[in-house]
Amino acid sequence: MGTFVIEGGHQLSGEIQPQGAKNEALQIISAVLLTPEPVTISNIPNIVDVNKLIDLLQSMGVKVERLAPDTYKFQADDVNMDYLTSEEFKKKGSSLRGSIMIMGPLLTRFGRGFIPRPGGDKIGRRRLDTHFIGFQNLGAQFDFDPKESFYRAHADKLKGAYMLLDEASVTGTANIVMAASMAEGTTTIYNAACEPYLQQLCKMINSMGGNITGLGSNKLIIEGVDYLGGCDHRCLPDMIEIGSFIGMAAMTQSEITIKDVAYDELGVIPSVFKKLGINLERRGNDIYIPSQEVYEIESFIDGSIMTISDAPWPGFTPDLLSIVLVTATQAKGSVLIHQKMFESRLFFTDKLIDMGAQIILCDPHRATVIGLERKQALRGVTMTSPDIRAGVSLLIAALSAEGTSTIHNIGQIDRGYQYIEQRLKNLGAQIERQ
Amino acid sequence: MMKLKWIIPAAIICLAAFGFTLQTEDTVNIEAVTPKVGTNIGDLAPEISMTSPDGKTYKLSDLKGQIVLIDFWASWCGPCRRENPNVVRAYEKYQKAKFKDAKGFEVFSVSLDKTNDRWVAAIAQDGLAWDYHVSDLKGWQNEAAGTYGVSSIPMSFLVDQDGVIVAKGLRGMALDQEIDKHVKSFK
Repeated sequence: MGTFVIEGGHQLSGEIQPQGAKNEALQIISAVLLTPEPVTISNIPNIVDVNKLIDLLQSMGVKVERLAPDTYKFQADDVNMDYLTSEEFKKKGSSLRGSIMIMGPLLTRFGRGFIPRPGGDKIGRRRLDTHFIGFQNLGAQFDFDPKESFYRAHADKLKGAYMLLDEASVTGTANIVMAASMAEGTTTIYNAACEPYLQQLCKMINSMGGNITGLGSNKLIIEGVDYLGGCDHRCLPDMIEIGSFIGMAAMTQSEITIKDVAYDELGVIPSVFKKLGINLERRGNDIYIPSQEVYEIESFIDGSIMTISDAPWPGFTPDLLSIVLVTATQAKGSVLIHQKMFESRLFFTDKLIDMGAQIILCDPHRATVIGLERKQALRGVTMTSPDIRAGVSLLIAALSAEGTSTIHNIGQIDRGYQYIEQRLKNLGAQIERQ
Repeated sequence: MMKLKWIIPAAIICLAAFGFTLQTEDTVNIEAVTPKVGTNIGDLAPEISMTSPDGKTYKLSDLKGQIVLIDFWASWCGPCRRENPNVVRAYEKYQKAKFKDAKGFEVFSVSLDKTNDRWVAAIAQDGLAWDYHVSDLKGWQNEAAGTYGVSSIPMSFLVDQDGVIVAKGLRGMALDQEIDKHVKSFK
């Protein structure tokens, strides 16, 4: 799976450009199936999950042309629906979490959709419920055959409906929005996810001639239209990368400018890092982080210990909580990290403890970090990356540590961050892939 | 006498309260008719001030009193170029219209181009005959596109005579249907 060898303790400096947002790209690329006309998408990140989806579309007969390293032109004017019941699709589709996102566009445009049953534990049954119940509300019928390896759905014509989602699932909302975009009549989705990447999808559909209002709120109203046309779309920068780079700059005492961050779309992310005492500055559309020896965690106004927790958008994204945690290990002061939305994501803290960080893992959801205030540096160690977010947190820890660290299983990091070692080397990081 | 002593202050309090109520209602009404600046339907369209290919600065607010189609496009955007004949057709059609409250119809084209030459060539090639063509030649980083949250093009905003956004993302005949709502007659 690959290994990074990192010599820590070097200050970094310079400019870094965040990649396009993966979670947006997966939705936007699926949406090209809504129209027979060409759609050009730029700022697509070059990472495995996204490339797999592009490959999947190509196998379905979508014409794909790479115009630039980050720009693709798609045209779904001759989709081969038979491919969707083939063995090959079963193999490709079930290994890709994002593949569920093609169901909504297929249902609304062609009146039927297929999706291989997800293999293994990649997607739990619960995760797909929002999608399926949404489609059923729009009048789609599912044929469940336990012997079959596909979920099949069909509908002569989807009809708009009112629905209240059980959970504000981002992919579920996106899929229902796509299905409703060409349904007959009005669809209202209440308790809809409202994060920027979903807004991007709605903007794209509006640009294609769709009619969606309520963007940015938890109540989306979609007037179905008969036809959607092509468009040119640009993905937002990845807010998880931006947050990771802020944490990295603080940990390594580096002066870094993060370029073109679409600051207005970052929500509470900058202010959460400011709570750790990081003096980040907005400069136009960039974020400038000065070299800081000490950053002091704020305490609450009554003097009690700061808590940072995750919540669905517009709350703080759970994907950045591990970055906040690792950044706090060198801060002045203490903070309680409360991971409400997922469990077991905090177990990587034992690696940080090995490196010399002072952390009390309270339970699967909470960890208290007592900042070292740079009285001592973390020590380089050998470790294995358990998942994508923890992987980057460990990478940041290793960059700040004294001595050499080895991180195994870096395929996990590559899944989310394109050309990561080259981009970090450009900032002066000592990092080698082996 | 005791009674009168009470009635006068009571009357004053009543009057004062009544007066305040009236005032509050007035304030509320005023707030209700002054929309905030934003990019949703019903919001006041944010100002755009940018330069034309020949270096003139055009402002969106210059067009107050007219129905304005703010059209985000680029010479490199195929779907925009394919949509352009529709905008040209609508421009010609609504030049001949009389509007209920507005003085006329105008198109305000914001280009996400990066090079002046390609932009100018596309204007000529597609016959975009109106004056209001602006750009800062920053491509996707175009300032107005940022303000309007535009991440897909073609994207349009229809603005009424008071500068209020009345429709978004109009393509094909949807454009006519929206503008028709403001038309009194055709000349």
